[in-house]
Amino acid sequence: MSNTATLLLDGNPLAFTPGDSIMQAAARAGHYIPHLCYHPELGAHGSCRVCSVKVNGRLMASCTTPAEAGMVVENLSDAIQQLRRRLVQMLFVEGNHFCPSCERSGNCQLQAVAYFVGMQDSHFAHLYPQRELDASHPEILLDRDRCIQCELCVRASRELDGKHVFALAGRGGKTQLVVDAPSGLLKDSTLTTSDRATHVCPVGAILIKRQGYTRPIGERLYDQATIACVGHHQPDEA
Amino acid sequence: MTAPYAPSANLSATTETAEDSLWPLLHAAQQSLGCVSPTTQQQIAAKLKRPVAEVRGVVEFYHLLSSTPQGEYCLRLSDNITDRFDGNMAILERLEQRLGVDLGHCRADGRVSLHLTSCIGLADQGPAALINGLPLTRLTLRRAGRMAQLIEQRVPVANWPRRWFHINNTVHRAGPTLGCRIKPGSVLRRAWQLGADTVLQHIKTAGLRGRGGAGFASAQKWLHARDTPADQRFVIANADEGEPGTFKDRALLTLQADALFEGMTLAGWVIGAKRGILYLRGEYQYLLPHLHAVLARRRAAGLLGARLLDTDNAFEIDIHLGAGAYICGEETALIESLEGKRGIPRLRPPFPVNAGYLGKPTLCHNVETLIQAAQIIQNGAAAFASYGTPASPGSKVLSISGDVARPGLYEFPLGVTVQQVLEACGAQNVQAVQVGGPSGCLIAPTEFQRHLCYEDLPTSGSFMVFNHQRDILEIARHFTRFFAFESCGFCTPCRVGTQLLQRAMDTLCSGHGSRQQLNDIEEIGEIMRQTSHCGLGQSAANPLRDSLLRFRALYEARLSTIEASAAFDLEARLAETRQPAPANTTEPAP
Repeated sequence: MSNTATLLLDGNPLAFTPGDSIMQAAARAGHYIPHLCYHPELGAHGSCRVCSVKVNGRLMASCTTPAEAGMVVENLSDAIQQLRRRLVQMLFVEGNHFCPSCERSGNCQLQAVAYFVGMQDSHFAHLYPQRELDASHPEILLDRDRCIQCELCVRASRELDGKHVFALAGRGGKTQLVVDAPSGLLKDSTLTTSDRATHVCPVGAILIKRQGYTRPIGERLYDQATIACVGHHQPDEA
Repeated sequence: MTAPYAPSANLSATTETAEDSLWPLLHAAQQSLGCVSPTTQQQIAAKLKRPVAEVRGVVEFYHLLSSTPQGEYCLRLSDNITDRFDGNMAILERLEQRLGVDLGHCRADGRVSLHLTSCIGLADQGPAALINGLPLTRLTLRRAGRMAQLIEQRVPVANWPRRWFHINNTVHRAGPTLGCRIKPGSVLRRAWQLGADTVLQHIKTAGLRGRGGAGFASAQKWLHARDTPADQRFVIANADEGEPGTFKDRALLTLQADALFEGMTLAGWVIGAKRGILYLRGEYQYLLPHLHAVLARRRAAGLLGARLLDTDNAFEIDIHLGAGAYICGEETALIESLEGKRGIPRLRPPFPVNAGYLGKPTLCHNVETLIQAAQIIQNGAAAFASYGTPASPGSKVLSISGDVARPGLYEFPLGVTVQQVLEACGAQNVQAVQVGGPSGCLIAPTEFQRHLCYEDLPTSGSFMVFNHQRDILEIARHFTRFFAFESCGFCTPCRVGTQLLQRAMDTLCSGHGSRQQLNDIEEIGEIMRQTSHCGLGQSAANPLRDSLLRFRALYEARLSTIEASAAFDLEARLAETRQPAPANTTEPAP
């Protein structure tokens, strides 16, 4: 163990390997830091900010901050959870999310993280954006209403599938997920049901058609245990 | 499109960054075809072997590029708060009326399109606009009517009255930077005599700090860039000045281009870079002929190229033209943009001085900083530091606009008080001053003894003055809308937070605001400040924070009497469904 150092996570010593981010160090030791745009197999992104922790008194995204010896990291305090609750609420009001009828309910990371951070309502006024639904692909549905722009599909297609099926276009509040095809439609892209990009979506934006209710609500991934216990499983990869 | 579309014969949109050929293709398409259509995007993607979705992602990121055709006459009215106070909305209305075109659209016959755009760097001579990239200053209603006639008669912009395009770069108060006189090549010769280590020592002794506002020690950046092992290094001059109310770089590029290029070449020699890039904001496209002419003159004089003044030193400078994105003033977003991508700020570390453009050590400086570096070598560190305060040596160029008798360019020693500046520019009856633009600080008269310097009120140079007739809430709302329009959209707090703040301010200004909304504004602002990915998101709520802190009574007076108001307006939503589907537009509502 000569190659390890230690930081303090919520007051407890946490050993890490140099080069680890705070997120990686925590995950390695079985500690959960809520996140949405982070995936252990993909490079750190730092866009959702849900994994924000207080490092030596300053808020930092734990997925992009390298662990350093002696760091004092605050993860599960009320103040941090409140901050995350607001960020998750922002994501909810920004899109059009309808948990009660969503096929991904119970397997959805956004929903599971919302429960974990104690979200009871949307708090902010909904923005009700008008977004395009792409049902053109025979086997895969792209519902932009539920997209949280984490770019997991963009990155998984590039880094794991060796393709470039997805990209973000637009700017600011007009940012949207677009498909790499002259028509812009999923049916004309190279996406297949075996692509990692098809299964990496943490919400219900990318869904395999005709299998939404194979498992009843109540028996799904995050119905059984909180996301803190389930850990890094992607819902569709479970 | 036919001939009249071309803004003028010698206005070239070419950029010369060889590593990425996307930009020349995008600029050429936008200029010659009036848009980068989906078909053109496919052609470009095929040519560069890049995914078409990525090309689309870039086109839709920059607001001077469009995927639908712009008019033969593309008119963009500057929409800074100073343009508002100068009456740009009445001009907009007149143009809409006379031309029969709606804001954010192109007329059906393709003749004209009309847009609002963020501050174009002419806040001292507004209302201003760009017509096919060329600047129109001091617009009046009368002139708007005349412009409409010329457009209907299809008179080429090149034949419009020249005085309409006149830009006044009057310097009201000169200093060592605005009055800089550097004989081309003299600074380089002096530097070669001194040696690189001594040059660095001079920069360090002078205490030069970044003039973009952040104030990082320049010598330290030079050292890091020089000492990071690499086969290639770059110097970038950041001329993407997009902070509303700033126009000092417009003046410096016009009056002091030689000093800037001398400073870039000097920095390149010290850190071991053979190439410099001037990142020019898209709104300053009209400065290209002048800048290219200065570069050509320097090349002919042996001050650029493979053998500078017959020595073994080499340096070349290219100009990259931006395409309309405030965020690209942030150095890592600027570098992403240079590489042909969306201008999303990078994660740091690594810092650009270690791994910047193309992954190589990159020294990125504000235009003013590079000119001052040249000055320090010419006049010595002591002369430089004879101005300013111990922590903020030197002088600062200010862009002064708003309710003042003499708007324009001023250079002051750092440490000057706000009051001294106000007296110099003839400001009276002042209610508030926006120091450093919307991302800076809004201050009230009780603070006018504060100092402009890094240790008190740091500034990029924007200095907007508001008298007692101005509505502080309207100002804060305008800046909030600016940030919502310019947010890159990468991180949750900035992307969503700016939209929520904009809606809250719209409600407040319409008189339907509640106390709950004020609390929300403060909380959202704090979340953005603490958790955003970059400086834009961290400072986007500053106008609201500052105005609530100093002018809270004005907000309170505007609240409706109830504690909380309904978030859902049923009638408004139903009205929306009764309308035909909205056409695509990227404009903020007037």
